[in-house]
Amino acid sequence: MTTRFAQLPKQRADIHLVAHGPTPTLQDGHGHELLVLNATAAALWSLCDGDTAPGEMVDAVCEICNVDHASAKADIERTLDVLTDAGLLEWVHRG
Amino acid sequence: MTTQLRAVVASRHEVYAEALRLALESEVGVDVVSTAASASDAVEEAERWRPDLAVMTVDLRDGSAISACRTLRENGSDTRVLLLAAAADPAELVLALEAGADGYVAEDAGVSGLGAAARRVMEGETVIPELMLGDVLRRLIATRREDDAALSRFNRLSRREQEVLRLIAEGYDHQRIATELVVSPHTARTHVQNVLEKLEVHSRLEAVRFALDHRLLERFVLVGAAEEAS
Repeated sequence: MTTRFAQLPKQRADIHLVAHGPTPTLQDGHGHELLVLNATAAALWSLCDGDTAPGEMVDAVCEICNVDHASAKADIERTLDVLTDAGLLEWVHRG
Repeated sequence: MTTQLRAVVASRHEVYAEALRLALESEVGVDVVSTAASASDAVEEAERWRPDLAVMTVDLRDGSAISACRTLRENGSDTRVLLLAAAADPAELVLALEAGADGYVAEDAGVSGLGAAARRVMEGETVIPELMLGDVLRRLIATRREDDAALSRFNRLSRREQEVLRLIAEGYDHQRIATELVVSPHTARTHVQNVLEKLEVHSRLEAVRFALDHRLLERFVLVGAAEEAS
């Protein structure tokens, strides 16, 4: 993860967040449900635009939630790992 | 023996404030010790009673509950503050958090949603409507980037130019700046021009706006105080 954090997470173009109803889900272009997210994971997903660094996500989460930096970093890394392992995120260089 | 938790409620409409009182007492079990209709009264009541919780609608009679919240924090209040908004507004939510609010809930959350938010706020959580979280994080990141860029421009200013920026913000013209800094009016004009160029703004007014928006003058004061102390 340390090496990958030099890059920026980006949503795969054909994956969409569907937020109707109580449970947000990630779906492919055919409407197939790929992953069920909780609210925090859905928020992080929305930040995966290929321009926002995980470190910026951690700082922002720390700013609004009463969590320490290490916990926020671990939680965010875990979430991004899950999304990456599911093949929903790609990692790109800034620019 | 348990101590009952206390709350202060503020809404510009008396009927609404009374409804909030009933909702909080029945849903959360707090004792609502006072109600207020204006931001200034809300601050006064919160400082008088030092309650565990203050629940305020955003729009109060003489201003915003956000400014009331900021005043409470500046005065050292540790009362937990929950703001109740007419509609979920991410920009307003970010301002509320920056002012020190502990929670934000929209009216459409209903009485049970308000009660749940109040309980979570009193337990120490920061309550943000789940669907707004992504928006809020995005805005915070954007704000932080803008602040970083502004600070980087501010750091281009020499110590003397930072002083000039402070004087511009205090409304000094070239002549008064020259007198204050004991330099010629021509030199003062050059300093002002350098400030505008380095901040990448086109007028003194824009420079002041820029400095206020990014709280640069506070940094100047802090840096100055630190230097004097060392």
